[in-house]
Amino acid sequence: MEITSEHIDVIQEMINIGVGQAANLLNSLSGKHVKLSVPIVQIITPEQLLDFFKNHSVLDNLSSVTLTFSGPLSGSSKLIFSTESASKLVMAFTDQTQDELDFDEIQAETLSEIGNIVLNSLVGSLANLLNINLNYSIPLYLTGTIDQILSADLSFKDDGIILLARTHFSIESLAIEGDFILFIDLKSVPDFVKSLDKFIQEGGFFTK
Amino acid sequence: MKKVLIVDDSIISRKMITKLISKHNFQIDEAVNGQQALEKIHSTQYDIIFLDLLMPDIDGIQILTVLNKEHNPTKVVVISADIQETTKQKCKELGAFAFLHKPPKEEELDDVIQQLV
Amino acid sequence: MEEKYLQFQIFNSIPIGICIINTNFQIIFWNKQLEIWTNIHSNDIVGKNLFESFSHLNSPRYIIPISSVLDGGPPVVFSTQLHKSFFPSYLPNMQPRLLHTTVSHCTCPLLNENFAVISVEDYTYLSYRIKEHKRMRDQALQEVERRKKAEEDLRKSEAQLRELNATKDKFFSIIAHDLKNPIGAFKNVLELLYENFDEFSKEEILEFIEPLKESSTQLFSLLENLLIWARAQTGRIQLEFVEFNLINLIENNVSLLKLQAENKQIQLLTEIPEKLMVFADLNSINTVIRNLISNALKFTYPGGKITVSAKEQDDFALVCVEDTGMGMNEETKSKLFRIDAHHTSLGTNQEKGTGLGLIICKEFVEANGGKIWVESEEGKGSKFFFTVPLAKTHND
Repeated sequence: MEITSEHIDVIQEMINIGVGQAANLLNSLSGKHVKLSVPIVQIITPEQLLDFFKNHSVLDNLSSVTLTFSGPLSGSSKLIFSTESASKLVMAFTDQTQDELDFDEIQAETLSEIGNIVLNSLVGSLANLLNINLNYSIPLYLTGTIDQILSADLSFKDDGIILLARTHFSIESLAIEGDFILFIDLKSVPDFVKSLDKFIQEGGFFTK
Repeated sequence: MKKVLIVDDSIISRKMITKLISKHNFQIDEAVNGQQALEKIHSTQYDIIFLDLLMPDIDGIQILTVLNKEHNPTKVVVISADIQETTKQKCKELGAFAFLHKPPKEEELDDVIQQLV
Repeated sequence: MEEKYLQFQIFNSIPIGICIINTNFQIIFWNKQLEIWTNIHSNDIVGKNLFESFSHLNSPRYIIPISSVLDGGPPVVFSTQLHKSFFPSYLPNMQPRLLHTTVSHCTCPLLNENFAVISVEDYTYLSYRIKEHKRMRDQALQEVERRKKAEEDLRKSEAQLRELNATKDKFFSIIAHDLKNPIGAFKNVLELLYENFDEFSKEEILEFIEPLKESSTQLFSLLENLLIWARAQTGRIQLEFVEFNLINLIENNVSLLKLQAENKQIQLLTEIPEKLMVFADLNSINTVIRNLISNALKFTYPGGKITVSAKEQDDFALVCVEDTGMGMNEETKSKLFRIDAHHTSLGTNQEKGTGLGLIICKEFVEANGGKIWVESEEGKGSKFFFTVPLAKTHND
C-alpha cells in the first residue's frame, strides 16, 4: 500500500482546509486578520523527522501540543512551536508587550489553548473530510527540546508513516511558524490509503 | 459556450470543481498556479474564473488585484480554504463576484452559476 | 439524578471538577468538587441547560467548540488567561479562582449515548506560586544590580580618593624639598658664623648675611603662599564679590614692585585705560596680579621689560603681564599650573621658587569666574593672561 503523489495532493488540500479553519478561529478570537501561507506536506521516516528539526528549527525551548487518536485510524498529531513563535501567538491574543511576556507556565497554559485550536482544526478537518470517527486523548502540552518532545510521547513509534507540514502564518506582522506532524500507525496505513482513494474516487470532498 | 478557467494548485481541487460543474457544459480550462493563470487570462477572455487563494508564488489576491486594475469583465468566483471574514472583505473589494468556502457544496456552486448565467 | 447516571458517582471522589452534559447541552452530572468550588449544589443544576445556567457561555465562542466535541470532535481547552471563568468560582478572599477547563467527548456504550465531559482543574495556587517566584526573582535581580552599582560607586570614590592623596603626597614632597634647601642653607651659614664669629671681619659677615636675608624673604613668601593655598583648599577663604576698578589694583601693585624692578634694572610699564570696572573678589585678584608681576621680575634679565596691560574683551577684562625674560619650553609650560609636577626653576638672579604662586593664581582666577593661560617661547619671554568678569554696569 503506497502513498502516491495524488494522495499527497489530497492530504495537502485537507491540511489547507484545516489551516483555513484554524485561521478563522484565531481571527475571531484575536480580532486580527491572519495571513496564511501554503503549507508544504512531506511524507518522511522517523530518522528524517529528527533531521528536519535539526536543520530547520531551533532545537531547544520548543512548545508542543499533542493529540493522540484511535479508531479507524490510530496515531498521533503534534503541533510544535519555537518559544519565540509561541510567545508571539500569546502576544497576539492577550495584548501583552514583549517585555511583559515572560514565558512561563501561565503563558504556557494559554498557549495550550491556542495550540489546541490550531491542532484541532487540522486533525478535525482531516477526520471530517475522510468521514471517519476518531477517539481522542486529552491534549498534552509539553515544552523542552525536540528530543524530549518526541520521546515523551510513546505514540511516535518507529513503524508507521510520518506526515510533516510546516504551517506559516502571520498575525499583524508577527510571523508565527509551527510544525504540524501527523503520525499514522503502520497498522492503520492501509485504511488511511483506502479512505484517501475513496475520497479521490468520489471526486473530492464530501458535503456534511 | 461559456469559457471557464479553474485556478488551483491542487489536482484534487481542480478535479472536484470540474466534476461539480460538469452539468453546465462549460468549456473548461485549468491553471496550476498563479503565473500560468495570468498567462491564460491575458490570452483568452473567460466568462468565469474559479479562483483559489492559497497558492505558492503568485497567490489569488494578487490575481484579483491584476484583474481589478485591468478592469477585466470576467466574473471571479473565489473558492478558498481561507474562510476569514477579513479575507472575504478583501476579495469583495477587489471585485470578486462570489466567495465560497472549501470544500464547496454542489448546491452553492449551482446557485452562483445560476446568478452568473 | 437519574439512576442510569449513578455510575458517575466515582467522580465525586476526585480533586478535579467534573460536569457532564448530553447532546442537548443538558447537565446530567455535577460532581462534589464543583459543588465546593462554585457553591452550586448538584440537585440545583442537574437537568438544567448549560447555556441557560451560565449565560456567559451562551456565545459562539463556547457553543461551537462544545458542539463539535459532542459530535465526536477532538477535545477543546479553555485556559485561565483567556477565559476568566468558565464556571465562576471564588477563593475565600473573594479573588477569582483560576480554573483550567477541558471539554472532551465521551461515549457511554452501556447507555448508547454521547456526552461531553467538562473537567476543571484549579491552577490558582500554581499560578500564584509562579507569580511569587517571578516577583522574588525580579527583586533578587534588582538587589544584585543595586549592590553592583554600590560597589561600583565605592570603587570609583576610592579611586578618586587615592588619586587625591597621591597628588597631595607629591605636592608635600615638593614643598618639603623646596623648604629644605633654603633652611639647610640657613643652618649651614649660621653654624659657620657661630663657630667662626671672631675670625670674620664685619664685611665678610655682611656678605654672609645678605643671601640669608634674601632666602628668608623668599622663604617667608613661600610660606605665605602655602598658607593662602591651604586656606583656599579648606574653603576658608571667603570670596566677596564687589564692583571695583581693576586699574587701581594694577597701579598699586606696580608701584609696590617698582623698587624691586629698579634694583634689577628692569622696566616696569603699564598699558591700561583709566577705568575698568570688574565684579570680583578684590583680595584674590590682588594676589594674582602681585604674583604674576613678581614672577615676571624673577625671570626677566636686567635691562629687560615687563608690561602690564588690560582691556575689555567680550564680557571680561583681559589682563596681560608680558616680560622679555627667559621664556619657557613646551614641557615647562605644560607643568606650570599643575600641583603634582615639580617645576622649581631658578630665576635670572638665581631666585628660587616653587611655582606655588601660579597654582594659587589659577585657583583664584577660576574661583572668580575667569581663565588663566600663558604664551611663551624659550629665550623670547612670556605672556601671562587672565580674565575677570566685567561689572554689569557698563564701562565707559
